[in-house]
Amino acid sequence: MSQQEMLKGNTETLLLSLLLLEPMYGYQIVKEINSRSSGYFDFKEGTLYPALHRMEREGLIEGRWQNTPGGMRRRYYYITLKGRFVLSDRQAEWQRFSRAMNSVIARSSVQPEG
Amino acid sequence: MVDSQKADFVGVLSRNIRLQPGKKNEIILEIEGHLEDKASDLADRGVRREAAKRLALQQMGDPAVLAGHMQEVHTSVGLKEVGLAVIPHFLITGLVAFGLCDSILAVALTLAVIAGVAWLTWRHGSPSIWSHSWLGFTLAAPAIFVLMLVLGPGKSLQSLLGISSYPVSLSLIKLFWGYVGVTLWVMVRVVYRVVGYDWLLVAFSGIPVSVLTAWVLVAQWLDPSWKAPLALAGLPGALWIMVFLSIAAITAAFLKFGRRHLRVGHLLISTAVALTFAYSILLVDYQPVPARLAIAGMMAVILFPALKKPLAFSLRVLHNVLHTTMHLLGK
Repeated sequence: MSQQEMLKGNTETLLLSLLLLEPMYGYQIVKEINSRSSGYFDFKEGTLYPALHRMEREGLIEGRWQNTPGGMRRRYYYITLKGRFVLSDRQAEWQRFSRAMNSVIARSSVQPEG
Repeated sequence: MVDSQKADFVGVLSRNIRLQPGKKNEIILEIEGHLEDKASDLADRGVRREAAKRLALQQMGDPAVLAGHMQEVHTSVGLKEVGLAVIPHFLITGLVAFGLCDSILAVALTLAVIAGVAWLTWRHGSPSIWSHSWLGFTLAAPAIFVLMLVLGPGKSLQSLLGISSYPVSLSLIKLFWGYVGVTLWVMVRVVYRVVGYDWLLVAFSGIPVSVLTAWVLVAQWLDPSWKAPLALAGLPGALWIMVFLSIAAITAAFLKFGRRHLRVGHLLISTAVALTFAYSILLVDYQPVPARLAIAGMMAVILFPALKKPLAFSLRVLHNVLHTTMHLLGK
């Protein structure tokens, strides 16, 4: 499975996890994901906004326009109560999944041929 | 140069997002803000300003694809919304199935519920997509009014208001005319606004209009004297029930198709089949001009979303040909 495919399946969890820390606007989210994953997650910017708007329609997050000290208007996203519950479920599921994966992967290793 | 590229990007985005103006502007503002943030960030890291702007645009990807995704997100619906959208179809089906078309109370309640929901969802100017089917039933009333005015037994406003020649009660007719007044008011307020941003939704709203007017036309054709109750004239109630349930299915499928081109295709095919079926009976030996105009008008509304681009292209070609010809003649 490619990195992009893995990211696609976990976009909501990543975004909710970030927004749990603090409300953020679109570009800030891209930078934070890139920075926290040490550049591993190359978040396609064209896919960020459809994901954010879909989550907002599902009631997981809420967007609010705010004026910055520099005079710019930015749309900050806040995690909602429903979003916190969903994130909690996803985190628990992820823990179970990663434990199971590690327990299988750790017992085997691929030897290079030749 | 880069500024014109940005203007092109925003232009493509704007043309391909067919949402209410407020929502559309918010999306465009947000994307523009992102582009500015990104360009400033790159410039702060030493990239030249023009190159930074160009890079920000490139990394955002194809604006048409982005607009398509945003459109899909904002017009996709869940099962709850689909259920809400088909309620009016089931209300009308219920009236026919239980033989309540001549009951003043049942009809008044049904009309009040349909008009009430349409008004409640539209009064704040940001209606959900499911409310278009309710709006469609609301807007059918003026179309039926015009048809009955032209095709009715007295063929005059006076005879319609006096109504002695109709096989239903005077109270029911008065109620209907009152309803027509309300719907005309709704139509003036709403239709112009919707046409402004998405023809496809107007076509979607038009489905009940086409079916209800077909109902009146078929009833009048089968029973020109209007002696039988309007709802069941000449044809068994089961047929009308099937028609309304089919339209409910068309509505549900339209809403569940997320992608716009699938919705356009589905609406064209299913509505063309339904209308052809309904009107093929009439067109054999049915001559009144208003009926033919009504059919042509409804087909035009429903086909417009698919024909808009080819039509605009043809007009552009025609304009260019004429322009070139005039230029050559001028020489």
